[in-house]
Amino acid sequence: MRLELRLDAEGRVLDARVIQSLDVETDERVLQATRSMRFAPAERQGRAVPSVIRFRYRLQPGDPLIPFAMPENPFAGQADALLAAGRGQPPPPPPTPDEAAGEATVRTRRLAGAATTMTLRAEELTTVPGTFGEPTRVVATLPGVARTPFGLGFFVVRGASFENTGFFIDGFPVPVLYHFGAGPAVISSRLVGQLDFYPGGYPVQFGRFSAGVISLETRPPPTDRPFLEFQVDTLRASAMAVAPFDHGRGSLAVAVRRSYYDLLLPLLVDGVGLEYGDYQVRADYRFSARSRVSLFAFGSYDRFDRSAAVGSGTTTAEQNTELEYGFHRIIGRWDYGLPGGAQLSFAANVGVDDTGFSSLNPGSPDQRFAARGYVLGERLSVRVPTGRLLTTTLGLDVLTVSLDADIRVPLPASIGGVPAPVTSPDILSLRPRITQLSLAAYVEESLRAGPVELTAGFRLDRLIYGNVQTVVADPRATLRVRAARWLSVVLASGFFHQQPPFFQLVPGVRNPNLVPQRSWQSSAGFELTLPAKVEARLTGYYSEMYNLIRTSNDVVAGPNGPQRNPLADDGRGRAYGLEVLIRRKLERGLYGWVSYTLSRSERTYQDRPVEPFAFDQTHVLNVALSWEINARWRVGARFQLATGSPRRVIDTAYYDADRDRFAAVFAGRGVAGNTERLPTYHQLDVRVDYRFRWGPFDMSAYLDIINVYNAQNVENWLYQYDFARRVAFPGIPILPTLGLTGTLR
Amino acid sequence: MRALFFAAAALCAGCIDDLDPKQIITAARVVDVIAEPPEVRPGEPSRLSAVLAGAEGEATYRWSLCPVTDLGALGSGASASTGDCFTDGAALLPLSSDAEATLLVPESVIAQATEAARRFEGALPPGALETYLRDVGIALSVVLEVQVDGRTLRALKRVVVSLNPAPNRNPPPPRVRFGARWVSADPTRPGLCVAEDGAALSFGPGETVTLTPDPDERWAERYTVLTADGRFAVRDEQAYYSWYATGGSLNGLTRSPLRDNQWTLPGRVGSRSGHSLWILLRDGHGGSSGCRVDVSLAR
Repeated sequence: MRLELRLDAEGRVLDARVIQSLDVETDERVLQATRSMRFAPAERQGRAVPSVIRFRYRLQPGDPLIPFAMPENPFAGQADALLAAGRGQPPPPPPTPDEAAGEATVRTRRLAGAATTMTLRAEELTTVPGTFGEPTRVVATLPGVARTPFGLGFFVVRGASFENTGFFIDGFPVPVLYHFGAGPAVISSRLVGQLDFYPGGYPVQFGRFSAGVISLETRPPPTDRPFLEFQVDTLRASAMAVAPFDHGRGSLAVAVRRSYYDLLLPLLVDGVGLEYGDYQVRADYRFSARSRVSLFAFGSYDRFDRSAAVGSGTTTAEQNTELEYGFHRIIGRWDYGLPGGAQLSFAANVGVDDTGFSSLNPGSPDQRFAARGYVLGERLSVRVPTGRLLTTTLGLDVLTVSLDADIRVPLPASIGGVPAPVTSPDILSLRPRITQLSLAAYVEESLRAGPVELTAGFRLDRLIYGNVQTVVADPRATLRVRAARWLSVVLASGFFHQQPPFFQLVPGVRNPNLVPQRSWQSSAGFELTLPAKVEARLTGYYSEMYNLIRTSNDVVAGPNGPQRNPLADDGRGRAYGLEVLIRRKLERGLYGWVSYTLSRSERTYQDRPVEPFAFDQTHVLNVALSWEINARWRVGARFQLATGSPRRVIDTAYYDADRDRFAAVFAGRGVAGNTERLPTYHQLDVRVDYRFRWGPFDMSAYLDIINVYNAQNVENWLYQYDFARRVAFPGIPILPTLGLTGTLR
Repeated sequence: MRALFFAAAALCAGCIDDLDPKQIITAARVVDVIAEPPEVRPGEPSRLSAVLAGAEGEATYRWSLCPVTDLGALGSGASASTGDCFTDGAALLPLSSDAEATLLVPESVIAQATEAARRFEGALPPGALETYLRDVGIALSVVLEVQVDGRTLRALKRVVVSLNPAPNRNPPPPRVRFGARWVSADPTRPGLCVAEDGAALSFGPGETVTLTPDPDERWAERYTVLTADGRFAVRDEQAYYSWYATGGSLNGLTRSPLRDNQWTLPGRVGSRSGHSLWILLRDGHGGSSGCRVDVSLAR
C-alpha cells in the first residue's frame, strides 16, 4: 500500500494518509504503525527541515500488519532500530511474527534525549544463561550494576545502595521485582513489552529514587487467535492464556505462576519453608488508531519461614525467622493521540502492599513487624511538538502510600544504666499509621537540531511524610551530539531526591525527622557503531550522595532532654567509575556482549574517615555469548567476574558481661589495611535450548546450568560467637535447571 | 532487602556446622564478671571477680577502668562506645593485677559526668540531671584482660555509680532443680552449687536433664531508667539464666517466665567421666550471681 507521510524536522511522523488502500482494517493498522516510525529528516542547506514523503509499504503473506496478525503496533519498542534507518530511507522491514511474538526489549536509555541506549531483542533477553529466561535478570549483566549475593534481585547501581534504585511497572512503583530464592520476575516475561534500565540520569517522568530506575512497560503477547503457553521447570510452573476479541481490537490475557519450593525444601533442609506465586490479568482495547485503553491487575506473594529451625547459635545468621512480601495492583491506562502529533496519557493505580517480618529466636522476645500499605497513584502526561525542533512533555505524578503497621519490638535501649542480656524483655507494641504523600509536576523540553539533541527537564516534588514537609527540585539535562555516523557523544547531569523508606520513619523506634536523600549524578560517554554489527559504549560517571541514612546509637538533645537517635541522616557518599559495553547485535543467530565496570563507591558518616561502600566492587565483568546452531539448537554461556565486596577487619572481640555476648572491635575506620575484601567472585553459566513440535504445541526445552564448574565463591563470612573463627558463606553451587515451554497458537 | 539476605543465609544451615556453639566450653573463657555491689555511691568500693570456665592453667589478670560512659567519655563528653576501651589508644586506668579487683569510685566521677552531660544543656528540663544522677547513675566501664592457657581473654563489666538511696543488689546464687533434685550454692565452697540432698549428681550418657530454676524471684527490684525518648520510667528486674557446659547440648539463655532449659549430656563417657555446668543469673540491670555444678557420667 502507498502512504503520504508528513514529517517534522526530527523525522517524526506528524500525519499520515493512505494513497493506495488495501482494506479498512489493514489501513488502520498501518496508519497506527506509522506513528512510531522515525526517518532521518530531510535537509536544506545543512539544516533539518520538515518534509512530506511518499512511502510504499510492501505487505507479505504473514505480515504482522495484515488484519488480525497483530493487534499491537509491531514497531513498539523498535524506535531505536528505526532511528538507525538510513537518511530518507524507510524503516527496516517489520519483524516476522515469530520475532514479534512476545517481543520484549531492554534498554539503558532515556525517554527523549537518550543518554545511553541499548536495545535487546526477545531472543537475546530470554536465552542468556543463568537468567532462567528472565528478561529482567539480564539487567544484572549490564554495565554499572554491581553483583549482588545469590542473585537476590536487588540492584546496586553506580555505587548507590540497593534501596535507591526503583522498580516501576507501567510507570508506578512496586516493592519488589523478583521472587525469593533466585526466583523469576513478579510478572510473566511474556507480558514485558519493554524494559528500560536507567543506571543514572533517569528522565523527569520518574522520581523518588536517588539512583537508578528499572521500568517495565507491559503489553500482551500479540496474537490473532487464542494463545496458550505453559512453562515447567525444576522449581516452578506457570501458564498463560491470551484471547483476542472484537476482531483483534481487544485482548484478554491471564497468567499465573506458582513455585514448589515448599514441596522440595523439606527434602533438603529441616524447618525451612519457601513459596511464592503471582498472577496477572490484563485487558486491552483499541477504540481507534488514536485511542487505546488497558486495565492491568497483578499481584505477587513470597513467604519464607524458618521458624522451625531457629537457634543456630551463630552470631550473624539468626535473624528474620519469618518473612513475607505481597502486593496487588490495578492499573488503568488511557492513551490518546491528539491532533498535531500530541500524545496524552493518563494512568491510575490502586494497590495493597503486605509486608511482614518476625523473629522467634530463643532467649529473645518474639518480634514482629507487619504493615499493610494502601497505594494510590495517578499519572498524567502530555507530549506536544511545540515547534519544528522542539517537543514539550508536561506531566503530573501523584503517589500516596498509607501504611498501617503492627510492630512488636524490644524497647529501645535506655540511656545510661546497664544493658540487659541480648535484648530487653520489655516489648514495645506500636500500631502507627505512616503516610507518605508525593505530588510532582514536571516539564521536559527536547530539542533536536541536526546532530544535536538536547533534553532539559525539571521536576518538582512536594513530599509529606513523618514530621517532614518539604519541596525538592530536580533539574536534569542530557546533551547528545552525533559527531559522525559512527560516533555520538553524550553528556548528562541531574539531581535526584528520595524520601526515606517508611519503616525508617516509625516514631519511637526509628526517626520520623529524616530528610530526603539527595544525589547529583553526572556522566559523559561515547557511543560507537563499528563494523560486523558491533557497537561499543564507553561512559564515565560521577555521583555525589547526600543525607544518607545510618544506624546510630547516638544520644542527642531532644525535646524532653537527652534522647537516643536510632537513625541519623548525616551520611555522605560519592561514586565514580567507567563503564564499557561491547556488543554484537543478534545476526545469523549469534549475539553476545562484554560488559565491564571499573568503579569506586565511598561513604563517610559524621566526622569519620572515608571508607568503601559495603557493595563496592572495583571490577565487574560480564561476558555473554549465544549461538543458534540451527533451527532446533541454541547454546550459550555467560561468565561473571567481580571483585569481592569490602568487609571491615575485626581487630579483636570482648565479652560484655552484662549482655552475656561478645562484641567485635573493628579496626579503625578509613585506615589503610583495615578493610579486607571477600575473594574475587567468578562463575560460568551455560544454557542449551532445543526447539521441537509436539502435536499442536511449539515446544522448547532448555537446560540452564548455573556455576557449571562449581566455583566455591564466598558471599560473606559467618563468625563464631566470639569472632575467633569464621567460615565462608558459600555462593550458589552448581545448579542445573531443566525447563520446558509449550506454546499453542 | 537486608531481610532477603538473611533469608538466603538461613538456607545455608550446613555452613555453621564448623563453628563452635556458644554454650559449650571447649577452652578457657570468661562467662561472667560479678561486681559486689553492682551499684555504689561515690567514694564507696565495688569488688569485681571473674567467673572463669574451662581454664586448665594458672591465669593472670589485669583490671582497668575505662573512662567511657553512655553519655560520652568522662571529662570530655565526646561521643564514645565501650568498644573504644579495647582499641590501642584507649586511656585505661589500672586497677589491679589480682584475680579480684576493687573499684573505689572517686568522688570526682559525678562532677565529670555532670560535665559530660553539659552538651545537653538547654535541652534538659529543670531537675532532670539531678534525677538522672540520683536514680539512674553513671555506668562506669571496667575492663578485664586475662592471660590463661596461652590465650588472651577480654571482658567488660559496668559498675553504676549513683546517689541512689536504694542501690541495686546482686541476685542470690541460682537455685535450680535438676530433674527431681534441687541444686543450690554450697555455703562452704564459693562458686559451687551442689545437690541439696548432699548426694553426688550422676546421669547416664546421652540423658536429657530438665533444668528448672527456682520460680521465687522476690529478689527482683525496681529501678529507674531514662528511656530512649528522654523520659524517666520505672522498670522491674527480670531473671536471665545463662547456661554453659563442658559437653552435651543445651540452650544458651533462658529468661523468666520461660526459665527452664534442657541439658542433653554427651552420649559417650569418653576421656572425661565428669562434666561441669555453669549457671549465671543476671537481673538485667547489672546485678549477677552464678555457680558451677559438677556432674558425673555413669558408665
